Amino acid sequence: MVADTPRSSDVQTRYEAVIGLEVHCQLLTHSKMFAADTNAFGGEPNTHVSVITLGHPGTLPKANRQAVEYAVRIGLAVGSEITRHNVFARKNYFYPDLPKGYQLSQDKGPICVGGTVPITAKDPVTGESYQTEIQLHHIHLEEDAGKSIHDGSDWTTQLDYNRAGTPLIEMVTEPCIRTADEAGQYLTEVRRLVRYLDICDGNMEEGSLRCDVNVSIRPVGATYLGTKVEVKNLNSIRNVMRAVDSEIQRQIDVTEAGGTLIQETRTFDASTGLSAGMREKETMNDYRYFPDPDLAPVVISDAWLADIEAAMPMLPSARLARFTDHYGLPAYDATLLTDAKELADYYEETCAALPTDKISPAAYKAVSNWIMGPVKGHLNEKTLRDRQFPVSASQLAALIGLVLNETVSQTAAQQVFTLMLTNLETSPADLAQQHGLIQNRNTDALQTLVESVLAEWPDKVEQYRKGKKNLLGMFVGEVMKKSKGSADPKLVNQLVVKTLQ
Amino acid sequence: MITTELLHKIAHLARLDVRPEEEASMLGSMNDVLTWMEQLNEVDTEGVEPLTHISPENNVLRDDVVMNQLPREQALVNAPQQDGQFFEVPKVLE
Repeated sequence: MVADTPRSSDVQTRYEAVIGLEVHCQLLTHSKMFAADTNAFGGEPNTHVSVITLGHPGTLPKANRQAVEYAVRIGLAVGSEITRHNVFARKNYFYPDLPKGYQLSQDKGPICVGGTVPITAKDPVTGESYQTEIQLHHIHLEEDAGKSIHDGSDWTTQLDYNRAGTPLIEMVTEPCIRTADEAGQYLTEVRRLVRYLDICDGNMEEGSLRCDVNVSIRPVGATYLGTKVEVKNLNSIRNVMRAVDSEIQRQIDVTEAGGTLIQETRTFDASTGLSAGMREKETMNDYRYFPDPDLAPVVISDAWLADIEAAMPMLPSARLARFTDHYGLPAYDATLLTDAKELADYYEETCAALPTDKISPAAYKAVSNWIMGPVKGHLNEKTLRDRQFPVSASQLAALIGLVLNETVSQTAAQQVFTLMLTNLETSPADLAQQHGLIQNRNTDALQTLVESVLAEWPDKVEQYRKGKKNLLGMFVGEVMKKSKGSADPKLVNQLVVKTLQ
Repeated sequence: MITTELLHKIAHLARLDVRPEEEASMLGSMNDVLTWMEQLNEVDTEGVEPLTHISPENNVLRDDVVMNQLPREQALVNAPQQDGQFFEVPKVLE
């Protein structure tokens, strides 16, 4: 057993890893893949079930049109060839979480064939970034199994079939990944893609996106494939990367010690960073796939394919182009804002809610500054996911509107923003009013303040008049203090200069 | 040709217990089925797509609408063992 600690690099550079990823994504449909019971996550055990899900005799499954369309959506996004004649197959094995004794899946002719996912990864030795493409072997549609609970009772395994029948896509890469970083970048990109496509929530902790890795090693320059080991139970992108590194190291250590690797499935323990071999269920898996006679083939016509394509949500790359072209944002802003779909949506919703007379490239940039600054700052601080940000886009737009029409100063707006986080029901304008943050543009009132400040600092006034012009900032600051931050600093500046002339 | 070894493998995959005295007759009938099916090899299927379904119907699809759920009491009613929440089976893992 090997912990995920770095080893001497001279041994490591003699080997290269060959890595393939299998990613399962639960599709965001309302009902299940082949039955109409709810696909909602969680729920009391065995309440999201139907006679079809439980595999009762005489029941007839029917495929969910939406799930088929979601699978085509991801295929189109990664440039797969879409299989037009689809057949579902029975994958036969006995395990208590599988009520029918088989899993409905696709065997020959997966719905999407080929495709690529472009990534930017870092070279583990030089640390330099490079661009590459991860090749997909295929994407197929299938159903999820139920959940076994082994520690709920002393003598039995408990079964909850709420998850049974949930629609899944399984995305299988070619064995073309070479490093843990490439694996992590690929997974990050897939998660971003499924979120942009609105087909999966990408939540690895809840298991709606799951990843198994296949790892083998070979001497650098060799073209054969070494013995493949599968590592399961990876519930975060970080753990996928740790598991890849730890497995590569384990295989190098075994090989260097003169041992032989066996083809096996190992399970990763996130607390130790170690993996352990799993007891094999059967000597050799023999799933005896055959076409399910109860499910009619799914034939995707040109017209249907065109409809699915027309309904595709905008992909990250198109979104990025829109942010630079339509909103005129710098590339830096656009990249940051489109990194997560929720944030990009929030940006666009805020722009759409701006007061119509204030719409301008400067306003679009102001929205960007607010989101990249205070909004993201708050999200990082509270480690909340973007979508859980409490302030609505229209509220943020209203606040930005107050700054744009000079009702509140930029500084006061920061205070209003903080107040908004805990006063979700009150409008930004009311909050500014209640807390005296409306910009004071009353020239008479401010002139009185300016004069009282100048009266307090006769020697400084003297020095200013003799040419120490940088004292201006101090006078303005004192006036701002007296106004408790409510004064419009530009106006105060003008008044001070005029009074001292 | 089905051998005794293959018979045991098939029986294991199907989770069936075959008694030793049944083996001979089972081997006989399974091999008869294979011989019978072999007649199909006489048909020239060059260039013919495999037939997966007899019915000509395609795209028998369902709209994504939730319905026909089972109340839990009903879902569990036929289980040999259950605790009112879960189906229970002999422990799978130690």
